[in-house]
Order: sequence, then structure tokens, then C-alpha cells
Amino acid sequence: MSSSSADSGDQHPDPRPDQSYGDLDGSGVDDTTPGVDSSDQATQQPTTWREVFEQSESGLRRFLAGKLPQDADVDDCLQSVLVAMLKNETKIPAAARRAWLYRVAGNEAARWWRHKSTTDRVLEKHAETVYGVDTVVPANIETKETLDQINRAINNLDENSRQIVNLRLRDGMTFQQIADQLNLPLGTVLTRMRRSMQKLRNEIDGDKD
Amino acid sequence: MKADTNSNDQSESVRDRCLAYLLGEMTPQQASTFEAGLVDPVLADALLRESDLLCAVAMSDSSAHTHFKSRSVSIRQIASLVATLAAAILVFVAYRFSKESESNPNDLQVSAAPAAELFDLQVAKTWVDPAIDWDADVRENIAVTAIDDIFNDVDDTDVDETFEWMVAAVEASIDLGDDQNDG
Repeated sequence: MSSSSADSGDQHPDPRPDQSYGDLDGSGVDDTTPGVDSSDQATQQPTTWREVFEQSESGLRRFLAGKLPQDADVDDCLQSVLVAMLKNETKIPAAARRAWLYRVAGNEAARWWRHKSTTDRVLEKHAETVYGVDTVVPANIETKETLDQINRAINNLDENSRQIVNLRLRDGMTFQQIADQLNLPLGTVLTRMRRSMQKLRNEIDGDKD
Repeated sequence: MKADTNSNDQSESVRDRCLAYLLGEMTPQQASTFEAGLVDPVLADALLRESDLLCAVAMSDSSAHTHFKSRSVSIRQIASLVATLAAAILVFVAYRFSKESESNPNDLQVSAAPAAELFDLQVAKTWVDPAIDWDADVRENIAVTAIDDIFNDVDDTDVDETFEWMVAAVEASIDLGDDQNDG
């Protein structure tokens, strides 16, 4: 995955297996191979929402195909994801846009299954008519609590790791740019990012348990 | 124990792959291979959980910065709007004040003059009611002229003419008084 010694020369030794993202394609082989040119790396970071969607469309389609029974349903949900993207007014950092699209796709698939049931459809319609219940509200509450948990977990990270996470996710810098700015080996940056995300997962999952 | 450890490692590995995919750190070929595996519900669920985590981490920082920025921007906007309104009100008040101070003196003088003349005319009419026929048009001119003459500086030669109407009025009133005494 990552460009390593090809660009860094003698300053950055070949990354050890634990300093990389490891086996990325599930082939059982560490994909961080020395001598990989940086140009082989991932495509340029998309700058617009449209570019993010176009790059993610095939993956979104596969993702929805695993959750929905028919291709027509997949197309409908994909269309809903596109509409949600166009209507979105929340500022999403560039690094998180693809993840946001997959979240929306997951929600749309779940909504599709809810609507499929005749009984659920009637109850939902009745609830909307009489009580005006906004079904999005519980998700907002959960998101707020999750954000609080995330903030606590981020504050528990060490300064270097927190800095790398912020630079990558908030500022949208690439790992290579982060490594150059912090004067660290690329592998080190990757490792810290990976471990930070592991810690955050464990803390979030631990709180939920 | 070993199985659990292996399971955890595998789970972490899967999550790491999901993270790399979501951050765009894979080559196109790697991404294509990853996407082909998304039909597997295990991988799909792992991707969804990693997406949730990534969004939450990115939004937690962004929400704080955006909120602060939008809040400070809105305070600045409100302050500038208030200052603009205050300045406009001050200008308006100053303009009105200057306009009123220019126009007021003339208005007072113009309104006072005709009222004073009418009052004097009424006094004269009341004073000399039977002596002179006030219905004729000439009388008003004489009264106004007489009033003006009273308040103006006049020569001695003009005194008799000026007070002629008053003399006539006094004579008329005396005649009336003699008649009553005889009765």
C-alpha cells in the first residue's frame, strides 16, 4: 500500500510488517513491499463530492448488493445515497467523505428493509400522521453520545498520535505529507495511525459493552 | 485462547483494511479486490463500523471548530450590523435636528404677525363699535393702517390723522354718555 523506501532512500529503512497496513487485499501477503513507487499508490485524493461518489460507486454497489435482494433495489438505494449527498449541508472533512457515503448506504439499506414489511409501513405511516415522529431523532442522540465518547477517547491518546489523527482526518493531509511535516518515517506514521484507530475502536466498543 | 487471539487479530486486520480503503490508501487494484469482497456480510459490517468510527472522529474535531468559527462569525456580523444601524440613526437624527433649527425661526415670525394684527383689529372694533360702520371694506384698511401707525414712529404732523379714528370713537362714546345722564 504505502510508498516506503522507494521515495525515502536511505533515510527510511524498509518498513517492518508491523509498521504498515499489512495485507490489504486478503492475499496473506504483506502488501507493503519495498521499492514500490509512490505513483502506484492510491489514486489522487478526490477533491469534490462528485469525485468521491464516482470513485466509491462500484464499492457502494457491491456493498448494497450484499444487503438487498435485487439489482433494482440496489439502484434505488444508490440513488437515495446520491440524493442525500446532494442535500447534505453538514461540513464533512474530505478524508471522511467516503466513510460518510457508506454510512448513508447502510442506513438506506436498513430503511429499505423496514419499508418492505407491510405492517411496519402502516405503523410508520400512522406514527408520522398522528404523532409526527421524526425517525431521525434517535440517530442524532446516538451520534451526540458517540461524539462525546470519541472526544474522550481522542483526548486519551498521546500527543503524537492525536496530532497524526487530526492531520489526516481533519486537515486531509496524506500520510506522506504528515511524515514530511513531522519529520517521521512514513511507516511510523502509518503505524501510529493504525494503533490510534484501534484504541479508539476498543474504547468505543468497550463503552458500548 | 489461541483461537480467540487469532480471531481478534483477524478482526483487527479486517478493520485495518477497511480503514485503508476508506482513507483512499489502496491502489486501484487493491481497492477493486477489496470491493469485490464486500458481498461478504462480515466484511460489509466491518466496513460499516469503521465508517461510523471514521465519521465520528472526523466530525468531533470538525464540529468544535465549525461551531466556534460560525459562532464567532455570527457575533462579528451582529456587531457590525448594530454599529451600522447606530450610525444610520445618528446621521438621521443630526439631519433632522439641523433641518428643524433652520426652519423654526421663520415659521414663528410668519405665524405671529397675522395673529397679532387680527387681535388688534378686534380690540379696535370693540372699542369703537357704534362710531364707525365696520362693514365697509375701507374700514379694515383704515384699521390695519391705523394699527401700523400706532406702532410706527410718525411725525407730529401725522399724529392727528393717525389718531383720528380714536378721537372719533371717544367723541362717540362721550355723546352716548351725555344722553344717558340726561335720562
